[in-house]
Amino acid sequence: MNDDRLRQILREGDPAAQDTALSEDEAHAMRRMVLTAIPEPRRRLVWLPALATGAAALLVLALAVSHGPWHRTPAPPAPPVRVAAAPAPAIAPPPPLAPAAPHQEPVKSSRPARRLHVRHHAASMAVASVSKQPALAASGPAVREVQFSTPGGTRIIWVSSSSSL
Amino acid sequence: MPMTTSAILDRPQPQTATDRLARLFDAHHERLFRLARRLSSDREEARDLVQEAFLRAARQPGAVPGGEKPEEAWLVRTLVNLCRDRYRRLGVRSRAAVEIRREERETVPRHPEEAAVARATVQAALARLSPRRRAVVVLHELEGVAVREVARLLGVAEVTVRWHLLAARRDLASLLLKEDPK
Repeated sequence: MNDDRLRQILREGDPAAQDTALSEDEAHAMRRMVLTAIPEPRRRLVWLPALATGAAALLVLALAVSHGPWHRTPAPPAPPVRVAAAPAPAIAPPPPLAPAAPHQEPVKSSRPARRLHVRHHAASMAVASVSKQPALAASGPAVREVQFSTPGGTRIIWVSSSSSL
Repeated sequence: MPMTTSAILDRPQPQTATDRLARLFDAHHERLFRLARRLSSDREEARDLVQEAFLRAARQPGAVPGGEKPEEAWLVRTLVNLCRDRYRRLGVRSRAAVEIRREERETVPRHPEEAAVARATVQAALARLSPRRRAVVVLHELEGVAVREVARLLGVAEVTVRWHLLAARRDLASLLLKEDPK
């Protein structure tokens, strides 16, 4: 009951009962204003994304050319490792062992610790011996060093000086 | 098969944004103005609301869905949202103005201009409702739109529409029926 009466009151006092529509002029003016408010399609900016993409590609290309891996200076080659050559026994025959020569000390490096040390530094020792020998030869007393090594790794070094002979 | 010139000319042309907006305006401006008139306090405000709703459609043509009913619902929702924005922005002033109008209405004697008085009364009572609730009442009670259709137009659930109707009837009854002599 209340709902029906309420609806009746609302319809009797309908605010749009008299203002049912816009007038012809109002509608025309509003239509014109609305239609002119449409934003123009942004055709002028179509090239902008393409330009940005091209610039980025060029930048990447320039960076790649200037800092690429082909521009790196090649690393200097590692110094050649010179392995001590086992001197042939025929070249330097061992001097005859004289029991009367007590100062002649045969240096044997067949102990495991020594051998291990020699094995780890074989290259440096070989270099040292090669560089040392001419110096030794030039300076008065000659020191001879004879090395023997077996395929198993055992190495025997004989050192003899001319002063002791 | 080669196309003749007449076939090319008779082919439906793609609708431009201007054509679409013009058709949208022609199809809906009267109905939208009626709704705006019931949701606003005066004719000027209603006209502004309608214009702003169509301007939104013009600025964002892609936001308006295709089809007559979806585009009508979009326009109604936009209009109600504009009412809500205005209600929030001018809340204090509007409520003060409503109170003043209400006082004026109470001083108006019941003489032959009863229709004007009734309009002022209903207008004042509707103005006390929130914009969404007011839209629900206007669409259902004044325009006779079914609850399901109101829900579709406003983009809310039917139960929400019923809840708004119930609350609005209660509020309006307390405002309108207590002074009703019948």
